[in-house]
Amino acid sequence: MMLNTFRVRKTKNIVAITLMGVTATLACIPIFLILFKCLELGLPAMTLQFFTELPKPAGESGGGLAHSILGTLTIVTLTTIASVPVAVILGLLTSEFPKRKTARLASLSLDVLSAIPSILIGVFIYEFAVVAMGGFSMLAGVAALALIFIPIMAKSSHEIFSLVPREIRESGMALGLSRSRVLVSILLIGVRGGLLRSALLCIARVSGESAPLLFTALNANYFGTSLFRPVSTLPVQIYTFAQTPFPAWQEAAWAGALVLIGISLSIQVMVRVVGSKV
Amino acid sequence: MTTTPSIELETKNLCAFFGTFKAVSDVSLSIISNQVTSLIGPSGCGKSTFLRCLNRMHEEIEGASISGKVFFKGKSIYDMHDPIEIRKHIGMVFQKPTPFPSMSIFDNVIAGVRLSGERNKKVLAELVERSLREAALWEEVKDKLHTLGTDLSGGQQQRLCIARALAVAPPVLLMDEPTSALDPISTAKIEEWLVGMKGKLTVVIVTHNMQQAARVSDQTAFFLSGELVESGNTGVVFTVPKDKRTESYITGRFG
Repeated sequence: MMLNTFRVRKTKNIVAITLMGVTATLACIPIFLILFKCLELGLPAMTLQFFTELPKPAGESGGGLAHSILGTLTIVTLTTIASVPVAVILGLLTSEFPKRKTARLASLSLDVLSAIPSILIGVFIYEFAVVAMGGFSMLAGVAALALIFIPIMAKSSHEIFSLVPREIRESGMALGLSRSRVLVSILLIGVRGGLLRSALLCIARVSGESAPLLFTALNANYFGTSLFRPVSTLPVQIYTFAQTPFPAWQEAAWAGALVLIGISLSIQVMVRVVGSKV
Repeated sequence: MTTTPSIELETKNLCAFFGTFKAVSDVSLSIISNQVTSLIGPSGCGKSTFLRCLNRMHEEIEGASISGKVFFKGKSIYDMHDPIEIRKHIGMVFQKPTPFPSMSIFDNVIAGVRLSGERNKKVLAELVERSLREAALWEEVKDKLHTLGTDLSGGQQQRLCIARALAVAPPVLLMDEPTSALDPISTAKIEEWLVGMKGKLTVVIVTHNMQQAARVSDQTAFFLSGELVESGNTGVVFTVPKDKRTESYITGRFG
């Protein structure tokens, strides 16, 4: 009898471990396929020129996507600077004052906003910013990306703050500190590592967005130096070049994709390093 | 209001509510200066709620309120506009050790004073050593003051929280079941510390452990269903209780 239940448990264990192996493999296959395809088709175009020059006219070989790489870095940096404080404040509001009307309204809006397809956010910003300002611009792109960044980070900050036990806040207040002091100097500082990881994941997410940028920042074949003019970004540039019949541009699109994957991969590595350091 | 000089804290007809639920009912109790007073009673009898009324932590829970009076050195604390000032004088240690996350042992100890504005490094360093010595933790952590407070063992974390509360130099310390999450050795260390603090600090401790109350406290108050049944000298309450219910509880017939 005992031997029998042992056999049953052992069989269950083998089945479970096999299933885990199969699912883990299934999760890895697409990643490796994408990576191999991009390496195969993009690597030949990855020269020094690719990182330093603007694209050559159609049909000519050489040139690069320096303006798109720089554009993506600029637009993502600006989005991050604009979004992180707003998201953290919203996270604090919804986790620390959950019964306030403003917090409940904010919470509902964040849930809805995070479920809206990104292309609709692009269309919305097109209506309200691009049309109003009279043209596509980097600023409109930042606004669209921020609308994607803020709800994701606000919701994860909410979770991060909620994980801190109530007693920690009470201990701070029992030391004679004001509530705002406790929230900023103990709670916020205490979870800074988690917030940083959350911000990095949002950066990874928005740096690959293309749909909202098509309606806002559009594209350009020069370096984006003005907030009020269109700017080229990697995802939109890849989208544009991939549709052309020119082999050199298609190759550049693959190389651009490889750079995007590189950005995303390095962020993931940073998240893991930050996880053990802060 | 007149109070005798040896009384540090005094409640008059104190009731505490959560919404409409009355958790503490009409309690009048005097806490004597520089002695250890223990509050005993079965779970849910209102002793923790009573304790939290003494430094106005009760009102931080949504829907919570009180009626009656609490006097600290003769002053009515609920008539003070700002609860923050009173908490600097009446510190608190909680049931679960609560070292602040991502803060070193050093930073944990000085959290209260630093965040209140003290910046002098020498003053802070001295304060850390003095507070950790007072909490009997200095010898164990003096070589790793800049490691995380959360990396300490549970018992050490609780003594760190005591050191943190002491660093603000409150004349009164409230302790809400401070050893119920700890092992016997850590508990013994904290009890030893408590006994050592007699004559220097007024302590009010909530405990489920009646032996602990008998070992460490000078005064004992027995709570039941939100009411104060009996209070007085610990020796008297434990050996010749006036009330039948106190006797039943301390002899282990319920609770």
